[in-house]
Amino acid sequence: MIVRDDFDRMVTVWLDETAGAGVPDYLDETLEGLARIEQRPAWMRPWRWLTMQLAMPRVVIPRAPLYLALLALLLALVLIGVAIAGSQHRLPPPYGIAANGQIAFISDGQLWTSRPDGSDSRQVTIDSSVKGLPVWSRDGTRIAFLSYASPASAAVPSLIVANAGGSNPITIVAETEGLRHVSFSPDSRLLAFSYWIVYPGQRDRIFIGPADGSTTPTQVGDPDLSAFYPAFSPDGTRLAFVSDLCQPTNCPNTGGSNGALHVMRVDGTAIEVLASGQVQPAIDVDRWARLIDWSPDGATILFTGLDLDDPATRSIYAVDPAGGAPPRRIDGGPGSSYGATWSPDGGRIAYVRGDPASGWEAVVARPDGNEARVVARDVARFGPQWSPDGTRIAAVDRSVGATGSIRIVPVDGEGPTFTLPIGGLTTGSESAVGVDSIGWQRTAE
Amino acid sequence: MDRDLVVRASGGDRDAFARLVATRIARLDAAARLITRDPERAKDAVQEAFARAWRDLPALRDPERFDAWLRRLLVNACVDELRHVKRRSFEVELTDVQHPAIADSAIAVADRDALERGFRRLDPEQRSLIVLYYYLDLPLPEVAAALRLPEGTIKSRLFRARASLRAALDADARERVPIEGSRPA
Repeated sequence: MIVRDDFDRMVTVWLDETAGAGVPDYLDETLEGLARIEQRPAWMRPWRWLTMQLAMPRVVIPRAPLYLALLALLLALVLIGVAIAGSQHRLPPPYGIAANGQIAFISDGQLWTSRPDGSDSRQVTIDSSVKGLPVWSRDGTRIAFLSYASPASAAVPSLIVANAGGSNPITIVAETEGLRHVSFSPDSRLLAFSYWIVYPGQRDRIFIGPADGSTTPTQVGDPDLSAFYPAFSPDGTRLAFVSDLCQPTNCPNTGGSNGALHVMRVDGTAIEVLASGQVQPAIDVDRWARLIDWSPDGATILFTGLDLDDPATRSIYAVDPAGGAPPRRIDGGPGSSYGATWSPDGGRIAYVRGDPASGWEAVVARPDGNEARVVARDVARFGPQWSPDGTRIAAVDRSVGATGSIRIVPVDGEGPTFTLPIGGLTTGSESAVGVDSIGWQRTAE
Repeated sequence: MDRDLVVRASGGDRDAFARLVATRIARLDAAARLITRDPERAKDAVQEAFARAWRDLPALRDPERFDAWLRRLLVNACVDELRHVKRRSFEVELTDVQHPAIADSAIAVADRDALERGFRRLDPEQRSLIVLYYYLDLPLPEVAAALRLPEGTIKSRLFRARASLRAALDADARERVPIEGSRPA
């Protein structure tokens, strides 16, 4: 039993005085907003959903005919494979230089693809739901995106994976709170993402599932750690991720704040802390700015972070995923920097720097931060996107209101700058658009 | 009375739900402002909580649990506002809650400031805990229900949050001793 003393009474009085009294002036506005929301029937609660496989009856087949049938099928597959191998599209390697494919982006709430020069522009999705955050698989054959049934359901998106042209859309996770941060494995067969679970507490957890939706995604990692922004390592064996509200057992020396960068095996074991305490990831930009990015060789992770000595400034830090050394800052300021990403060959990095008053500019630099130079001015803070061939970057123009554009600029000044117009970015806010607003398809050279 | 309103609202009666909203919005807004320390975020959190409540009300099995469930939705919305939803420029620090006039306050100004600083150092969950327990005056089982945590966990976390606030007050008092000569009562 907790006995209240003078201190407790002081806290109560302070809270009462601080809160004040009176009805807020947005009651009518709230009621008007509610009038536009429909109730969801009780049977639609997600935990009532079961996979079809659970209801399938078992069928007993005699073994000998089964083996013969399998042998025949195998032989047929080999013959078919040999026959069509020459006609198959080659796939790009998951990392390194590749050819530039289609750019995926959101315009007027729908998913579009286009060549970088604006040609071959095509609307991939056509329905009433609002789409967001397109992410190409590493082999360029599939695209994942979020789908919100309506602007009012922005907190409960579904995760869809479709073929590159938009055919065969599969719902990986339906209408789930806090769903975000989709990362394809290097072989493009798995997806990692995070969403909220409802117990204990309501916290992010990381899930991994097959990109073809054949089985239910599995939660991985420490069940007591609020974890999000998973990113596959280039060898596919590990996930980097970010946590918040971590406990001392998970994140020693947090220094009074609560963001931490971790790495773990894909099965959720061997969780290590790479950055916490004095220098830690800036967890509150994770929704709209790129937070972490592995180098193509897997030797370095870049992250947008902060130093507790100057917590208002965001900077780019590099850290060794093997641990053992503190993060090192690699941007030179001034102002804040966000959304660093590696060039496909790992020879350069790009990020955005600036401040809200003077605007943001896209910068390309060496991996150690040297030789930084501006390649595009007045862009949004999401973080630039490298072209698969490493010659260009794409960035969303700063004005993310009713209409805007994507600028594709040559990083070495050679070649034209392309502009793709985009419209109707839903709310016009950065959190609604996000770092993965642009996806650039990798194709075989 | 409210139970009838909840049942009717659960069946799709918007007028009934509007009455539930009207009688609760002031208290929830105050709680949300305390947790988020930002009137705009508090407003967003309150509206989000009511929107979720209306949308999912048909799934609420026990109408008597409506208020506890609504508080949980509010806390979740506040925590979400603080942790992830950044609708405004990030460089803008959390703004102060509009304090009422405190000329007749029962607390010394220095103590108010110390409590304010201590409270801001708490994480969103700890702030929610303090507000539910001290401001909304909920018993521990109700706080546990709102935060979806075991009661024992709530006790230990409340102890730690309370200790953090007290430490802020004590530290502030120590700093003031050489100037003021004595610690306020």
